[in-house]
Amino acid sequence: MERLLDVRDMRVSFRSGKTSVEAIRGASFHVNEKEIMAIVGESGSGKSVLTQSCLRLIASPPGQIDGGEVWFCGRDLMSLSESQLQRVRGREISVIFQDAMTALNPTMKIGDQITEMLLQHLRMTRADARALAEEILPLREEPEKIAQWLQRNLRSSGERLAEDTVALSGFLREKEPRGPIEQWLLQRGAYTRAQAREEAVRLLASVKIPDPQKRIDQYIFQCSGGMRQRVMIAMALSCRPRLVIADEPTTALDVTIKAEILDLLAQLIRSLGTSIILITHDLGTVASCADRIGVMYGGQFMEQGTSREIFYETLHPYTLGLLQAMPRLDLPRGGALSTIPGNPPNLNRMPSGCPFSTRCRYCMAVCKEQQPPQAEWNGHTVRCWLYDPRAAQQKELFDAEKERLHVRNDA
Amino acid sequence: MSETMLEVRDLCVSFPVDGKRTLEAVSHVDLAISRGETLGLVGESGCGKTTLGRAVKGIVRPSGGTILYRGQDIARMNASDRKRYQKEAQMIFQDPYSSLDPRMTVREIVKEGMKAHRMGSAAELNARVDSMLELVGLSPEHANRFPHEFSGGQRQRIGIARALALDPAFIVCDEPTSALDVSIQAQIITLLKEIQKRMGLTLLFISHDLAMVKYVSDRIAVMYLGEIIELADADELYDHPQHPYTRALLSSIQLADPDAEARRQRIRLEGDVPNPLDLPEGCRFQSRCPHASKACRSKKHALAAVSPTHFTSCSVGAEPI
Repeated sequence: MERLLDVRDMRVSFRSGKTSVEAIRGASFHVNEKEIMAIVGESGSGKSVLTQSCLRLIASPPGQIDGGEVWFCGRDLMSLSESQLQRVRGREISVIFQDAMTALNPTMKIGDQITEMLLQHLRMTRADARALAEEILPLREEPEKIAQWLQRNLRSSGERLAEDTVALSGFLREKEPRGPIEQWLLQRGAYTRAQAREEAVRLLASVKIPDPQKRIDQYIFQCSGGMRQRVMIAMALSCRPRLVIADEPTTALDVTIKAEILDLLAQLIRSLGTSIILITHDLGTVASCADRIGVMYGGQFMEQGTSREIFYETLHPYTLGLLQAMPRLDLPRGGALSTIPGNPPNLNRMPSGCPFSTRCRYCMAVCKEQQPPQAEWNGHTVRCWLYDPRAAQQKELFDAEKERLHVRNDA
Repeated sequence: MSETMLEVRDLCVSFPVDGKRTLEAVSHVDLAISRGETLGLVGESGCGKTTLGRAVKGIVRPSGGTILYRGQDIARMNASDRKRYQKEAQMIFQDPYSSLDPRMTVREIVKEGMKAHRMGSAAELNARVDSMLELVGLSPEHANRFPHEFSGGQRQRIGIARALALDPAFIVCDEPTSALDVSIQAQIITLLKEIQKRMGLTLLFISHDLAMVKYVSDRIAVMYLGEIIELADADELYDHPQHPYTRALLSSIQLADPDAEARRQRIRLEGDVPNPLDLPEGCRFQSRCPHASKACRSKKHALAAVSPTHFTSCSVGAEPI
């Protein structure tokens, strides 16, 4: 499968005075094309810092990216200039924030915020037109392919699509098509305010906001929580990005709205062929929609695998602990809820070994002293000393515990 | 039948809005909680569950109806009974960040209520603070620190210690875990259940987390826009939900089990909760109800028994029990 985003060995720290704390301590992950990748972790585990760092969005100072590579469509985002990166942000990779009320502008009408985004990012520059013309030239006279290209790059649809296809095919028949195509693209791609507004209405309708014509002239405080999150989703998808980073998109919402918003997001993402990084603290949220899951703790990935692997073939004691700590509907009441003792680690006082060693039921002497190496089986990775051959005895205990959880699952 | 600890009859709480209109946050609610029982109260944000909890604790004044604590109307209690009720009925708040005074040490926070109720000499109170902190899993050394030095879960423990210090009989738990991480939620719930068992506490457990509510409650009441729309034993409610809203609520729970999730059929609720200032005639759930008929727009249903322990205001489309 094609990797859309490949993050390698990210390291991020925050400075305060003379001390510095490491928030991300060598985190690697990737997102495949058309995939929902979930990052699960408790507060302070570094999930938001990690994804924000990928777009260099953390405030610096105090934040500082100490190392790592972020490969996206053949470029390392860490080596781009600020203006080059600005063209990736919002347009190719967009972000949905947890709290729409603070992420959106309270003094701007909803419609104006969406059109601003469209006009800012989708305006056709001469350089864009030149680059796009390069892409069209090899298509020659294949109306099918031209139509596909138009849908993807100029969002043509319906009658417009037929017109555009005819126009482009016409140019391609000419002797020197390059110049006229560039000219045409510049004109065709010039987004007028009226067009952007029309597009904004269409976007609001696509996220199932009733009466979008009216809503577009309202302010964000006039909307309910679910409605605000829909506006955020509409904005994030407005430029048809390749990747969306959704940072706890449903955490602030009620249960009935939560499931609805998540389904809507998953459905839109799938229909656009976009990938998404879904950040959450709740494993339950991602069970129904994630393709792959990464579990973070103390600035590192403890375990990564497909959704099924994480839930049914759990390898890390922390993941197992999270699964056991969730109250379940299918069991009779009154049984003891299994807990993970202690608190999430303080970044100032990270254990020198495994970050989870202070709370782990299977902790061995080595765990406290040395960081565990990463082990891998067919893409299912885990960072734990249990998978060292010398820990076979301890691993048996873990496997027995896991068995107990899954016997309950099957019952 | 065991002793009734708290009874609420026809309770209404309303708030004035911009001088003219009133918002009825709690509307004609009847409830009874027996001694030692945990009653779960669930509903979406804005349904009035917190207001109901605060009214029961005496923090907000009802606009109608009565609240009986051990059979006595709290609005008509004499001074000494009132004092006893205020001591025995305690509350644990949702947000451990804003419910502790940042300028007080933990010792002062836990001691404040005991001082107000003159529960002993300074030395006795200090000793009690230490034992309360130990009871909730903190250590006496923590007593001289300030709230900002603690994590969310630890602060919630301080809030619990403050409530327990008064030797309560009844505690209103207002979403005590919703601001906490998953691994910490389980710790706090386990602690609460343990203490309840040991001290024989009666709990009103308010939450929007349906899985957690099922786990802790004996009986569960479901609220929608100020009204109780269904009330049943916990297992019964989850096995045979009657009201269309309860069924939708249960089906929206996200399970940590991909296979089970794939098998499930979700009931979709269209639209948002109506504006509580502009409630529709008839059933308040009609605008989102998949079974709404003409009759629902004019007639309102009261809670009715479908079994001796199960009450609902509607059972259209439900499987019979």
